[in-house]
Amino acid sequence: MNKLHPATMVVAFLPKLYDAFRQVLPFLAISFFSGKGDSSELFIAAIGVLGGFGAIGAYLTTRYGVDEGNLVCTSGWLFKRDRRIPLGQIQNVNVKQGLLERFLKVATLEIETAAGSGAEMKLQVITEAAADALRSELTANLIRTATVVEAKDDVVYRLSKSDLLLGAATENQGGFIIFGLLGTLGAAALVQVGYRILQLKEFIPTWLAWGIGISLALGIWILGWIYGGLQYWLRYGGFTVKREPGLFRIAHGLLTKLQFAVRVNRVEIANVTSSVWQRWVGRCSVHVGTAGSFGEAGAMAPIALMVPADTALDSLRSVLPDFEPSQFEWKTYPRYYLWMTFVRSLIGLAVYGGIGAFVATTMVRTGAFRELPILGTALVAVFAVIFVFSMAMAVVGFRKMSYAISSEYVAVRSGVFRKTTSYMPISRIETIGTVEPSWWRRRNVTKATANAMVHVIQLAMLPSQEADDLRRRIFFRPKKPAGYTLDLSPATES
Amino acid sequence: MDNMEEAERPDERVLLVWRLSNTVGYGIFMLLVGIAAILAWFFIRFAFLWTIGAVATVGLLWVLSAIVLRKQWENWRFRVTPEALEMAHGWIWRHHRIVARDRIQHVDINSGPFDRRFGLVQVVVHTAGTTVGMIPGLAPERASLLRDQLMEGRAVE
Repeated sequence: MNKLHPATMVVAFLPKLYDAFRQVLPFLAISFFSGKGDSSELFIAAIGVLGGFGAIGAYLTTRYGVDEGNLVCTSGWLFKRDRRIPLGQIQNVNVKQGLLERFLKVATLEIETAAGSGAEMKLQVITEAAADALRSELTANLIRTATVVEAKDDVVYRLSKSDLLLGAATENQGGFIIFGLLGTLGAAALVQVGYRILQLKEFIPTWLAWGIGISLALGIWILGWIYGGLQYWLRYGGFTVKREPGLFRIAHGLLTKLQFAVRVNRVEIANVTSSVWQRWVGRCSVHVGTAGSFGEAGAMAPIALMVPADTALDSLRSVLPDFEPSQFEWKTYPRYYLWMTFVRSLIGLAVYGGIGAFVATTMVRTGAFRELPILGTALVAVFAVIFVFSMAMAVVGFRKMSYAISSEYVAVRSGVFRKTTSYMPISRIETIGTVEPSWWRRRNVTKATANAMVHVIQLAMLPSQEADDLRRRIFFRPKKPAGYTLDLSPATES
Repeated sequence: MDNMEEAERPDERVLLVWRLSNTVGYGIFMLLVGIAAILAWFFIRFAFLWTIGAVATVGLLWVLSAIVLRKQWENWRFRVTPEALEMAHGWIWRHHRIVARDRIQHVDINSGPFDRRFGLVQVVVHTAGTTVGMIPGLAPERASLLRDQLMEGRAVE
């Protein structure tokens, strides 16, 4: 049995310290600005820091190793824990290295099984050499269960510098990221700024106030763009795909390094995504999902980034059995779905409008707000904008949605700005559910959901006949193949 | 769906279980509404009619739910075919789920206090990914038979 690396104490302790600091931050800010602080926030911080001492305990008590075909990890002092994972059950072995971990030449190993989402066992932290040795020992077992076509170990795809830059510029979450980053405090500050501009209205012309407001919003958006791009750059820098028999080995990340393996015969779903800007330059990205969750990469792992559409299809062919894009007949949902969307948003608006009107009249009656006409106009204006926007989005969104059911696949496509196409092999589907209210039933339409492990594909509305056919297809689907033949030739070096 | 009409239904006694637990739920709700009404009466002299209205609304919902439960039981169907387990239920919103038998990971048999009162159990089916469904109101013998049947895995290999 092996011990963890002494660096565990540092690596596991620092995030706890950071968490404690972040939790206390709002309280500190409040007491700083109000000038009436007490020491209660220090107690909160102290409790957070205490949690960090668990890291020392973890280092002292954890033992791990491979024993009789099981990966064993025991830990704990008062409450002992002994976890054993049969080697055959291991789905993914991810190696994660943060900046600090890279500096200390250690790594976190995450072991995932099919159960649940997230790592079943986490070895934080062990030396790089130990991580590599254990990983190859564990994945050797994975390979034995996969069909070996030819033993090769070479890089089949590497994200070039220019493509990385292109991705960073086009993978834009814009203002959303910066707003998320700002949090509540930042939002409150923004409101303050807006209020100040309103106050200035008496001294400066209206157009200037509007100009300042708009340029402020634009500035935030550009900042968000830069921030989003930087995140993409750091996250996907050094993206490489290596091929080994039966699996892809993927590594990426400039600061935090991630390495994981995708077993080809365990792919349950594949997504092709592209943002508006990426479609302009003719690029898209491919993510796949298996039973595990790939640690920090989320439930989906990237296998091709910023590739032209035909390369994306080639990489899909190499991970999905009998994948042939020409076999898909894309259909739009029945028009009735659009009407239902309209009705749903009308009902939603009516409810919110009712609540808004009630609050407004109450405020006026209780004297909290005297200027009903202004409030009323503002409410009506906001509602008109939301109404027009949601209706327009419903129409545009509806036109972009489509689905295809072939003999091997269920596929859906949606998204106005960020377009996503998902493919799920019928041989992978565990369960299909349909649900329809009585008024849908009268029109013979239903909503269908297909699940494969943790992955879900939803067909928003389709004729009941097609749902029945899909169900029948799981009845009589071909036997699950033991392993697919690997053909990676199309993957290109760009 | 096509010929789900002839499929098996949960025991009718499950209706009693549902009604009983529903009654307990509404009882607690009614109690809370009553306490709130009394407090409102004492402290802010809330209108008497409001109190009556609130209690009456809860009562009406209770009666309504009894009808809904009956309808739901009437629409509950399940069946095991060689390849799949099928479940259908719901009155206004109709749910239909089909589970590939070779993907069933484990089957639980649960029974709550009300279930036990009427000698019933419920069967919960899981795949590796998720919990896919619960079949309520089965006699224990039927439930263990169903479990054995489901755990055989796919009949056609």
